[in-house]
Amino acid sequence: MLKLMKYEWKACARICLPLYGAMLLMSVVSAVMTTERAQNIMNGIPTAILAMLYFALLVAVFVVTAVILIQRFYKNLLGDEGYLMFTLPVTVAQHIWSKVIVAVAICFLSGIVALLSMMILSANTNVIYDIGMMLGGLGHAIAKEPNAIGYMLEGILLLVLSTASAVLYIYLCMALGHLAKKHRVLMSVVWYFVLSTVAQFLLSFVLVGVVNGPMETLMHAVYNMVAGMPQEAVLHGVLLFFCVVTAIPGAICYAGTHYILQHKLNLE
Amino acid sequence: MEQKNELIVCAGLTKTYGSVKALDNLNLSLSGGRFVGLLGPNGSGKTTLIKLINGLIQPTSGSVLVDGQAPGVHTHSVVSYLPDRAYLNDWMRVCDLIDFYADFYADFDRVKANEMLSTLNIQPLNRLKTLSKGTKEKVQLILTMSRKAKLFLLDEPIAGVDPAARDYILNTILSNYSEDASVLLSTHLIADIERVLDEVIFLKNGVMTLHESVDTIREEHGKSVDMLFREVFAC
Repeated sequence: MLKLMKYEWKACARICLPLYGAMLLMSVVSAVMTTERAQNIMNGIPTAILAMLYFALLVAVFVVTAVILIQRFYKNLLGDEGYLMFTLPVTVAQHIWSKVIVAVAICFLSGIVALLSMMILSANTNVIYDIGMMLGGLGHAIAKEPNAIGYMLEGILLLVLSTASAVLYIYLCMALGHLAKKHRVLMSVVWYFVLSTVAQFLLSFVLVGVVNGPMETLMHAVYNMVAGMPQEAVLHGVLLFFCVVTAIPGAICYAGTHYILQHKLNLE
Repeated sequence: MEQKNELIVCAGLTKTYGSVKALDNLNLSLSGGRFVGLLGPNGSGKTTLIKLINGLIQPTSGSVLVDGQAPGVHTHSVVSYLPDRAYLNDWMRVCDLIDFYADFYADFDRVKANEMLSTLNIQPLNRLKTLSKGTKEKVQLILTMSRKAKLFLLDEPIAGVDPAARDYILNTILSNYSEDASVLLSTHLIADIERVLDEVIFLKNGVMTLHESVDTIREEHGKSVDMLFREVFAC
């Protein structure tokens, strides 16, 4: 499992890390070029070009992350490389988990890189001062309110779970597309839209059902349950409830992908 | 009780692609310690059979057991498989691949792999992308044969390699598998490998038409496997 993750990480990192590096470098250059003195060089043309390049690179970071996520699953498991991967003495579950974990990690990394680069771009003493103040404030808040750490961890967990669910959903679509005899890529895309529509339909169905039917009783029940509890417990409860709700579709997608790769694998 | 020694057991194995039967009700058992040639013209189901044994495709009906178990983690740990295509990451270096194999297969022999690489003048630091097609195939074969597996499944291992290297590779295969291990090798270049075969299997349109030891063929038919093959599959 760890070995699988190691190779998965290597494969992703060799494309992602240079790109992230370029992104950060670009934001430093852009930040320098937007200073007033630099803007006067050649009527500001270099600055404008750089700004455009910067924006293109920012888009590229997200596009490349998404492409890698899809390609690593499709090529590595369902393409020719699957001949190697699926003859390793490794279980299907280990394959999926190693890919999900690394995919979530690069999603987070690309987010952090984008944030960092924007911070560099807008960097002046004020921003740094503000960040310092913010961190200080956070420290105070945590010191005053020990629950804050709990909220933060729950928030991060929620973020991780929702990213993982999204990744697993894409995997499931590719696995379903793989079941087709021809046009497997096209079928993956079709599955993506079909499943999205079905999920939306189901969701609205449930919502409408709840609103029209037991809405009032449900609200009462929740209200009564909450009424007696301290505020902190309620907030924890809500965050954890959302965690569970995002984890359920993820678990379903995982089960579906696992079943297909285990029992229906048909490499071309 | 005799079943215990069987390395591969196929029962009623059938695989269809749409309306085409790639394999039709194949019943086959292979025991350990044999060098078996899987022979047949293009599209006769050789690759399909090998992929089924590896669990890369699922049978339409029937079953296949390797070392007593359905294809899975255990069978992958005792089977060393050489696919008929480029299945390795292009961007990896040869030495990365050796690390990869050593990481995942407990029976991989790194020393042996490096020995073979240097005999064939392949630089471990080269990226796969920069190697020629034939050299890539040599690398793949070296990786496959450097394991101490119970069963070697080689799908067209010599087709893309020059005749001089072909002999070296055959000798490598021969000298690298231990007494109780078996080799199942698919090819249509029979003349090149005839001298090393113990048994042959003839496949024709997904049906096994012959499964006999080479000695029996020579005695009963009075001709070489190559001659018999040309006769059976004459157009």
